[in-house]
Amino acid sequence: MIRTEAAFPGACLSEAVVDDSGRVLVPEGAVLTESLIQSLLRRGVSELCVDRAEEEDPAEREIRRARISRSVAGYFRQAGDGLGSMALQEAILTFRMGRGE
Amino acid sequence: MNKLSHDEIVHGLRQLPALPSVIGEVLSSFGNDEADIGLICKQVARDQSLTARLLRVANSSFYGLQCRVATINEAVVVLGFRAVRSMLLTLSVSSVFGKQDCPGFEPRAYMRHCVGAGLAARAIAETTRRNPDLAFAGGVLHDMGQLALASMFRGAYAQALAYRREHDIPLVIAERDILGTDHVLVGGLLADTWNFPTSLRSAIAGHHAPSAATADSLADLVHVADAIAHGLGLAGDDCDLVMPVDFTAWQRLGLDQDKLSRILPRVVDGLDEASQAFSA
Repeated sequence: MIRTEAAFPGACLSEAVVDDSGRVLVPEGAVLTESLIQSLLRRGVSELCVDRAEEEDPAEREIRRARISRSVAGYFRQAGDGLGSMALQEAILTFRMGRGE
Repeated sequence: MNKLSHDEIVHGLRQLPALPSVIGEVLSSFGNDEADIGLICKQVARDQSLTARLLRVANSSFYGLQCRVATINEAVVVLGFRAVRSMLLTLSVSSVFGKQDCPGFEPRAYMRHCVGAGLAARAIAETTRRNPDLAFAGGVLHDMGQLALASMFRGAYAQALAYRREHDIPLVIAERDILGTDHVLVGGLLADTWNFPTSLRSAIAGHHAPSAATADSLADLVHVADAIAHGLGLAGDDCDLVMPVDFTAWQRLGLDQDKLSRILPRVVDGLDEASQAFSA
């Protein structure tokens, strides 16, 4: 069992996540993504059972997120601030953060 | 160096090997709803090399068929003529250029970018109710002017590629500075030489200036698909960059964060299989 805020993308759930009435929110075996972790945190799920019990160091997570931000900003370095460029950059940043890569 | 003249480019394009003869029939079917599909299949079947490549792609995990197809006719029945036609065209173009040895030109990076743009174009087409098979072909072929330049003017194109790295500028700008032309213009001329349908020609010749094309052309779609492929860094090249996304094209397609969140995974998740299928 690990704290949800310390879970990291790629880890596999060893037990299903259920709500107060026992309904399955995420099935056993599902692979965590950044967006899924954030969604569970918003729903007040504070702990998860994952196959690998190690937790990601919050500092490591920030480093990873900063690396993704730099990478995406790098590809958009000459894209300007037009509506399409900004929207596409936001979508790609969200997507890559969600994948954790 | 001396800039390339229009005549030099046109002369070079005429020296390129011709597309397989059956592709003429395939191309003419784009504007003809009553094309004889059975006859086209029979003609394709006579080209053993093209048939073998088509069946390899059709049976690859890219299409995820439940059972193997063994003939062109079966491929048409299972995948549809539009899909087979797009496949034939993209495979034929890559076979014309063969292996590239232009210094600085990375064929694998080129293919991953173009197939990524094809997948993005197909996903956008499905979102915006356009023809996804035609969009895929437009995406895969949009940069074929680069292949032509690397083949015809190897030394000069190597200079343009080095100049881009040195100055961190978009490729199309480096090409204009060094060669006096660019892959968009050359791709358009090649599309004319090969009698491509107007829809594909506009995708190739208009993908850097889509607002000049009509709203129903593929130029908008391929322009944004190209930006997606660059923005995801699919080529794996650190000098890759996104050029400003055209406002008119963006508005016409009506994309938003929700639609993009469904398009991006399809591009990334399908890339390895599709690149492998079309490189084989």
